[in-house]
Amino acid sequence: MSEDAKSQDKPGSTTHFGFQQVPVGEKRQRVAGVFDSVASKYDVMNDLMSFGVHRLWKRFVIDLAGVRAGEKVLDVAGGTGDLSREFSKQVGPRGLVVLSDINAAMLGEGRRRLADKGVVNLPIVQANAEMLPFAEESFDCITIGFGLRNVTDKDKALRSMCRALKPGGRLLVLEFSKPTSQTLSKIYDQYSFKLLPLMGRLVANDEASYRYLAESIRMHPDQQTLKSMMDAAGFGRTQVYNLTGGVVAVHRGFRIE
Amino acid sequence: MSAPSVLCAAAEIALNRYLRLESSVIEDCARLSGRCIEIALPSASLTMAIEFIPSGARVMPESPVPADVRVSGTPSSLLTALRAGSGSGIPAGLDVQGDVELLGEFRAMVARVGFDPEEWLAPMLGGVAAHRVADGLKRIFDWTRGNTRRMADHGAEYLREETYDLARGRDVGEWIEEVEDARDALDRLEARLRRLENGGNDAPATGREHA
Repeated sequence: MSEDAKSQDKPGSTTHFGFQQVPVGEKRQRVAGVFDSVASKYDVMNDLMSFGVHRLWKRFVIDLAGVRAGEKVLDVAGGTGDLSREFSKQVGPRGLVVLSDINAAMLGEGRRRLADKGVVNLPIVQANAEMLPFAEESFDCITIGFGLRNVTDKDKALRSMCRALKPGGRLLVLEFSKPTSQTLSKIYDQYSFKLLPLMGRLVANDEASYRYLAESIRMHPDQQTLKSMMDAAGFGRTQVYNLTGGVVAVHRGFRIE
Repeated sequence: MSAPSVLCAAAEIALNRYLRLESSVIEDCARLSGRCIEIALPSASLTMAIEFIPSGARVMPESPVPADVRVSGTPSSLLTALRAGSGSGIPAGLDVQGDVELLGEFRAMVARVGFDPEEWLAPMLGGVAAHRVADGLKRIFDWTRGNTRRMADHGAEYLREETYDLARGRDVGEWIEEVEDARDALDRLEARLRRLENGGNDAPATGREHA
């Protein structure tokens, strides 16, 4: 169990919200506030902030997930439904894709975007990743894209996702991580703390939310720590795939019997 | 050195896409679930492991369990082994240690998958266009392969007949025969000398000595 999770077991304990320490119960509301604010501009900002590369990162996750026709897939913190849309094509009419997110505004945006693309038969569930409301061994594949760092108790969320997976099923975590090169790290810091809030202010009229984005990335566990957390949550054969020099990492683990 | 994880991911994605073209191959993957092939490329100092799972295979930088079979060789010898299927034996330059039968099954699975570009293109281009594009690609591929083979033959012929950098097969054969003749003549000479040294009495007479 991570130090973060241990501290949350104590009454009156705090957790991080970006660089701030806030009471555990408050983080969820604060994160909800951020995503309520950015939901309508979420995809535009993603394209702008990553120069479109987020599409390649998601494509890598889709390919690595290797979803087959007839499989059941859960897209946790699926937001605007980019991954769900591709998975729904792959599972076909015999399969099932469930889009879930804790934030109603993001789910609303996801529902609208999926409908625009002609995907209307996809169940949408508002759910907390820490307590997924699904029966044990329900899914062949679970993905969480750019969502885990916003979860208050990551260990609990990982255990919850492991429980919902069928034996042999896989979890793919797509998340910002730590750059592997010092030079890239310095450039990335400048970009994150100077350019990103500026873009947030100019495009989404919301500097604070994008400052939180940069801060939450720095507070998120690095590649090896997250791998250890996945192993501790019950996953096996966990692999880390660094993308764009470690700016983003994909962790894939399997529920081994 | 273990292969970079992204390289393993690319190999896994490509391998699974290929294997899933044939549903019976996936059934075989399920049957072999949990078994592992370790592949080493000494020229590139890379190793990776293929572990079979019910939905195909996963490729990892290191084998998570003791590998059932270890295969080491050049990339070309590995490709030759996979392309030729299991009936053709293990190609030269490939070192195999462990359960050869598992490797044979994997080769048979890879060989059994029939890739039909026309079928793949049809949903995107339509049946007629897919047929024409596939036919055109096949012609280009055949032309390229034929010309590459002819160029290699002509290059070798030039090196043999014009520059004499390479020996002709017939010349090499003649040379080997001459060496054999010289060796036989030397043996006969040695036998005669031995006979003379012994006064021509104690050496056993053989047909070869009187030849």
